[in-house]
Amino acid sequence: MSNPLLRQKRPIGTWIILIVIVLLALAPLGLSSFSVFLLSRILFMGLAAMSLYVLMGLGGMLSFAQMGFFGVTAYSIGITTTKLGWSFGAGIVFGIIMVLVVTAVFALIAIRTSGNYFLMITLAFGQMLYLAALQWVELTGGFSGTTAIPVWSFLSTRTPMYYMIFAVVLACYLFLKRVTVSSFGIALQGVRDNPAKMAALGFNTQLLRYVAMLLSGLMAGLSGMLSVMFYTMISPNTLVMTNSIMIMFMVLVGGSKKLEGALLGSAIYLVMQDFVSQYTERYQIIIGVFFIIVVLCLPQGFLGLKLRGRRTKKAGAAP
Amino acid sequence: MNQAFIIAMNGITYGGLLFMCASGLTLVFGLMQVVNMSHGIFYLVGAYIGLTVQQGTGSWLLGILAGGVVTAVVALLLKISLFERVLGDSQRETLLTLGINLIISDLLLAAFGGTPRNVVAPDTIRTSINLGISRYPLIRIIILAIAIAEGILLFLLIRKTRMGQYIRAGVDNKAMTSALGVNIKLVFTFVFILGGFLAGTSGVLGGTFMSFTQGFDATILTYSLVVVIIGGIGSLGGAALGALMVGLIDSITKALIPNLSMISIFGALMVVLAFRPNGLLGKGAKR
Repeated sequence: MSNPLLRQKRPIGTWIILIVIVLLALAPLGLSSFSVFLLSRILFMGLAAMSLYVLMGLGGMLSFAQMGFFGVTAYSIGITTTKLGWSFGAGIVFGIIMVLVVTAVFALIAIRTSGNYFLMITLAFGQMLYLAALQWVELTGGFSGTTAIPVWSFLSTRTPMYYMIFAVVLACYLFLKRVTVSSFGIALQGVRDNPAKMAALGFNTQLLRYVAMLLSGLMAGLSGMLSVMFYTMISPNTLVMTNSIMIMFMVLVGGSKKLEGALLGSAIYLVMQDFVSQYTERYQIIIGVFFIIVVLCLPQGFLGLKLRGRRTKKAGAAP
Repeated sequence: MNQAFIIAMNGITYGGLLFMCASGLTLVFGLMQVVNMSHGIFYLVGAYIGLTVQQGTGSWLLGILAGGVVTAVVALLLKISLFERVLGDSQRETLLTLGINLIISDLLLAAFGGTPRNVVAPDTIRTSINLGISRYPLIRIIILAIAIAEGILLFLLIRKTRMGQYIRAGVDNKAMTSALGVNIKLVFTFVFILGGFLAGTSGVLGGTFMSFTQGFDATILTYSLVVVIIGGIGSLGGAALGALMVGLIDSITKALIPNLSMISIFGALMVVLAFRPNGLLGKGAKR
């Protein structure tokens, strides 16, 4: 039944992604411990960046609350397992429920705002969570955070933990990929580009944005869960505003229009950080300069570069 | 009664400081539609410069002036070098301020280290005066007085000068103002520098009674943003009102329920937004 003229060849991007996935799956077999750890961090921070992508890339909403949601799950897991003696699995379930509840409540207020107001309110919220983590010492352990979280014992070695992180991040990536091409994802991008028009067309823009926030909160929470598995601790330092800026950097530098950009950005950022901090403590300045360069010269990020190259071949193809 | 008075005064004086800091932010935001994420960093720059100058010259007043001027110069340099390139695209301008935030905060860390610092007020001021109901630190009263004076000056600027007229017009309708022949870029630059100056001076003043360190910029930025949102973007009166509210809530909750202090402020923000989505005194301005 399929007409050879209509059958589409898989674009090269898909092949690249498949190859990357396979390489990542094989990574622990060939790479050093250090590299596997680095990859683990790239993956779960990439998930946090993907959570921002849902809001920023798809929805056009800049958010500073992601690390806050990250922290909600991480701290929920930490507190229930260390202070209440729950099992790790129960902690995870609770952590996920908590982040959904917190996001659900926060989003009710946040979607009433848009653009700059939205940015400010997510900043205030993220900062509030940071200060709560820092100051509510009886609950969170204050500055030193919650440590010695009893992670599942099979995660204590490098390879199983990597595969755990890889599996979760891959699943989320595939899920989000599906979302970006679903009618929800496309409608969300419509709201990003022209909310008035979407409303006029009968879409419930508030609902779309609300669901986007729930989704992004969940992803950020899962990322927090993975970080707890990786570090067996959580401290308020993870929730500082600077880290929210870093995640934004990841999405931007990779390319805010594509989901893969978040992962690419995570890789770029963490590799840069590791590399630069061997020479100087001032890596943040370098990242800042890079950030500015990206904003000024490379607004579509690195993936945007490739896109532009291909666009000249396929005239009229949408970005 | 004593206790309540002190808590109230703490709130009012803190509100004064917040007003000084947030007023610059609300003008920049209202006029340029840019959330200056570096505003907190400007506060810190002012504080550290003020500290350095005050330690070097022994003069508190010189420290205040230096803090304000240096920050204003920094703002000017940033405006003409970086912002010109992304003028008009407010999202990119906001992102730019993020990058600047990263760079300057690390520079400050490298130059001054991570320990909390304080600007030291002159001995003559470091006393408490009798306010009838109770004694109260003079320094905070003075800062409140400065805040009120500054508020009056700003009000005069905005209401009574030509530049103020341009600013108000620009906040209402940038395109029209520009079309009427006003050099809107110059107005932007002026407001941005003014915002920097205000942030810098409030940094020195705030640094006198609150210690500051790395990371405090995020806190002061958050408070300023909350004040701006509650008060309404572009509105000085709103900033004053918002600052007073936030100051009082902060002071009261810190005394009664310290763990929930920030949550209460956020709660107040939510309540205001629920009834007045544009802030207490904000206009329904187009974004």
